[in-house]
Amino acid sequence: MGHIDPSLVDWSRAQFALTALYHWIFVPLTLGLTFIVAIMETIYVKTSDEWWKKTTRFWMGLLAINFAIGLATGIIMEFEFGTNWSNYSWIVGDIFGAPLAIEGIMAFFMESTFFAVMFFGWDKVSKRFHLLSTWLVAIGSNLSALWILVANGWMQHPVGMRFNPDTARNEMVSFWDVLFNPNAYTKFLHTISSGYVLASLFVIGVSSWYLLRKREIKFAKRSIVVAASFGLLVSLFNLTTGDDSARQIAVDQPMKLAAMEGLYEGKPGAEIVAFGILNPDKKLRDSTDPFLFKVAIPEGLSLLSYHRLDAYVPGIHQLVDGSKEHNILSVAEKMKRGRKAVEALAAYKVAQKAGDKEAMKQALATFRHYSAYLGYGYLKNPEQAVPPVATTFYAFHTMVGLGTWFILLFFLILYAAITDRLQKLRWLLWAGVISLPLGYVAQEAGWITAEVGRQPWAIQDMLPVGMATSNLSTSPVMLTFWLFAILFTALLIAEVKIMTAQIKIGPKEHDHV
Amino acid sequence: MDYTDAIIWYLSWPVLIYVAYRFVWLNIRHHARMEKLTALEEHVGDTWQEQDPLLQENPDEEK
Repeated sequence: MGHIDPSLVDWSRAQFALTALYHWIFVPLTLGLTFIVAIMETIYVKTSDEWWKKTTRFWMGLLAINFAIGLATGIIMEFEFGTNWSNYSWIVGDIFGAPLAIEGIMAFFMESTFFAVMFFGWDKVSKRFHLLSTWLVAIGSNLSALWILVANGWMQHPVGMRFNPDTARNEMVSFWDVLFNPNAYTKFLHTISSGYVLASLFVIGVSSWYLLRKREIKFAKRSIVVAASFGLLVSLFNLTTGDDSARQIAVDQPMKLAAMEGLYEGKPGAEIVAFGILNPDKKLRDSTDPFLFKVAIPEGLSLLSYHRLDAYVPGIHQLVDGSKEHNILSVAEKMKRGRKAVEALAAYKVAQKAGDKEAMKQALATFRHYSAYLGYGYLKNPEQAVPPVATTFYAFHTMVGLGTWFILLFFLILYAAITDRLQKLRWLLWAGVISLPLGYVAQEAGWITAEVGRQPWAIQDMLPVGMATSNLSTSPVMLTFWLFAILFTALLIAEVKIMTAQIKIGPKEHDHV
Repeated sequence: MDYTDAIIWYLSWPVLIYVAYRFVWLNIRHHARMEKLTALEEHVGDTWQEQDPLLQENPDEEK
């Protein structure tokens, strides 16, 4: 691998982050709204009440707009693996490509095919076949997410592969290890359930707006009952998957956990920060307090991470400089071992060219011995192993804070709705409207926590992002960054405008019954 | 690698959807009843309970 311009790495990262953040505006709503629509249609088929058909069709219309625009950003992201991240694709394409291919062949075809039946098939196919199509769209779109998140989970915790020194590529040896990777299922369940939360907030937000305007009263109240019931259950599930995800991070990505909590000094019985303001002057290895202000729960982080009050949680300092007491290797030592792996790989190539089988065998043995630290061999200094702490900390706490608020909101709204008091509680309706954009904030914050928190790694401990980019000149990446920024913003504006217009018209215009 | 945890967690997904559907159904039925009660109150006033023979303790005696 030749010299790569650092600004190219930054622009490539910025472009991928831009695409992912925009993509993640559209996807979670699709994941959740498909199930909400499927539940509404099931009620229609079960009761034969044509009123439920009207409700289903209204929300389905908004889903279709969102689905189409989400598709555009997703396809661009898949192409970026080839154009901007070709080293990454070369090194791990054999593993990463498999779930993406299954996603395209199985899940995406399934959801796209039945989406057409679902959207255009009203009164053309039987009621039951239409309902089946709607459920298959919901299952298909979530299966798409499964395969993408299996791939992402593998990047966070690579398993089920073996490095082939002849091709310098990782090859999959166990598909089941990749699929059942603990990081894959926690990521899948936490991500889809957060999408369900967003979709519930979306339905509640729009319906609350109708109630505040004293419009579509019956439609809005019933939609709120469906969304708040669904939202309350899935948000509680989201809480349990979040807990499982945190424990997984503690084991596989302790540096990410330390950054999420702004924990510089590890300790047994570590506290969890409920709310805090980080000290911007805090530097690695100095004794400055990392917080200007904080409200913390004693022993909370130990309990969250290891389900034990006295468990030791390593801090950023211990993870960088090592700790003999807790058997933590320093990053400097890992870099030393990683460089031995890199050198052994280079020696293997030289011996292979020379046809020296004995030297090849020796180099390979050395490589296998140090290969667990391969990625560290490409780091320039130990400080590089620390992710941006402030971004990770604030993103994590924004996600958790908003997630907690959403559980309370779903409970209050559901209680008010089923006791038919919702219209009188205008403050609660306003809270429903305001929480809609907050749902998007929580989604993006969650994604930022997951991705920024694992920096500098494209693949945890194996491949730093700096080594994963294509060897391009910076200018085309800069140019396409701005092009995509304009395109995605235009798509977002289009979506918001079309949706707002549809919402203003209301379900009456969809009343074909 | 032991896959038990993963299989159990993956299976929780369809279970979640089914339980969520049943929970929605339960609440929507309750809400429909509340809607009917509210409508009755609006049309008949708050004396409707006295006028509904089904809600009397001994409807036969009322007759």
